[in-house]
Amino acid sequence: MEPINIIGVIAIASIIFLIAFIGLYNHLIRQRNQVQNALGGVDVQLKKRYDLIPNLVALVKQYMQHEQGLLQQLTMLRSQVTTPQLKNSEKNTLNEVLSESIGKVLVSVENYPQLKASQSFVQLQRSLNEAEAQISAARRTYNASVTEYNNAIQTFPNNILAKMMGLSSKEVFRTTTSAERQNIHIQRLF
Amino acid sequence: MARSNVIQERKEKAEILKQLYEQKFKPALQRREDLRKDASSLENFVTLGFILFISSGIAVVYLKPENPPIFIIVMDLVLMLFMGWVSNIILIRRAKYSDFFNAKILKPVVTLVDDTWKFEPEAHVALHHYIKSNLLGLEYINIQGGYLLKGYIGKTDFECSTLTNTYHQDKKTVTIFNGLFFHADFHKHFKHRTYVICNYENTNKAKNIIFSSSIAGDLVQMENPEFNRHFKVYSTNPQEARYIITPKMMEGMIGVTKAYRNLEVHFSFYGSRVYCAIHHSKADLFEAPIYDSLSYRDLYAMYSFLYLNKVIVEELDLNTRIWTKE
Repeated sequence: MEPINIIGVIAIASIIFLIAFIGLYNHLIRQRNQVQNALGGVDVQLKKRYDLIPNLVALVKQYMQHEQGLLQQLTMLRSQVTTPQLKNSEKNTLNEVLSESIGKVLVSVENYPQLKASQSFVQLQRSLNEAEAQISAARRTYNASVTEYNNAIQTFPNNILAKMMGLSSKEVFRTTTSAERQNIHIQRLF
Repeated sequence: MARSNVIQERKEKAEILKQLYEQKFKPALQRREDLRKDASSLENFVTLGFILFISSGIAVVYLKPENPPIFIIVMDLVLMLFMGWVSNIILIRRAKYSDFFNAKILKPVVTLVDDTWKFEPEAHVALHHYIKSNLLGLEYINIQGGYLLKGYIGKTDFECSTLTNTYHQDKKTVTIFNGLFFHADFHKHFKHRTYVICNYENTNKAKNIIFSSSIAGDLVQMENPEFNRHFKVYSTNPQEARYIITPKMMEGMIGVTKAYRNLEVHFSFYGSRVYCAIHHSKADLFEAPIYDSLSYRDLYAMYSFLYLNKVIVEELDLNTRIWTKE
């Protein structure tokens, strides 16, 4: 083979390799950004829920004289979970505890028929259900993004480039508190 | 009403349907058997006349092309006029039999399924709903339909009718869609478009629907493997798609597809309404049979399709209204 042909082949192979490298690099960056975007989506929905909590506390405290401890816990959790310095794992745990507390308040309302029947409470309950449904959708979207990202950085040959870029696997959102994982026994709630 | 109750209710009411068939419908059909037989035998008569017409034309062309016998030409003219008159009688008899069938057979079956529903055999779902669903092809050349049902199932308003969308190409009629089209109020607000389309790859179903995935948005992967075998989801907003299609909703959609086995089922979500298109190869699902008397099996098939509306509403749990939309 003439030297000029060998140089030509090497040049073409190098160009192909470069294009592939750029393509893979951009793909991994897009996947990483998609995960960040999805996490942002979860935060947006969580914020909507936080904004409903003061309304819930204000509405129920005039009726639920005996549940003041529960309402104080709810208020305290809300202020804790909005602390900016929290790590993601701490935020997740606090949000789960917050969900449990909201659930306990809503179950306690069963003992106060006047409150349960009030239009303001019904609307607030719908808004809370809506917020929970949106949070669930956002978390599922986040989990799907993380799964795609993890698949992208762990499969060959992407894993070679991912290691060079310092990309590591991320965890999907899962329940961390044991209380949420257990099946709910209705009798224990009353 | 719990999910399995609709199927149970359908089975229980089928007993009443059987009694109705034996005690009311069969005698009524027997009394109008003359209409049905007239319509089908006159059609045979027209077919025979058409054969005679063609045969005499061929005979003239081959035997005496220069001087065709006058009497054959006159006979053909008279035959044409006579067949035209007989065809008109057939149309009138068919229309009468159809009116009788819709009023005395179909209407009572609709009342059995739900006595609050409105039934309009000559009407169909308005065109703008078909267009909004974006399920039935991008071209709406020739839309036909009928047997409109509308009303409420619990808190959910709905409409359903048969639909055929066809166009002509190279002297052939191409069917874009044939089957049932349903739409109802969805129990959540949403802004974007989401489609749940039959998964042709995994279900060995022939592709009977024209759906443009290029304008439908991104493919959204769901978590339920059985759901993914039956359906593919596309959406212009993946997060909203997951807000609409919850794990419970996925189970419900699988339930609908299992209740109507081997039929292609497609869903579309737009403007806070859910649209459902179910393809069926039979030309007219609720038409009065002309060539044979109505059997219980045929009646049960019609009854089963009328029940589709309740099955969809209950399987998708559209009456649960605990979110911001009432």
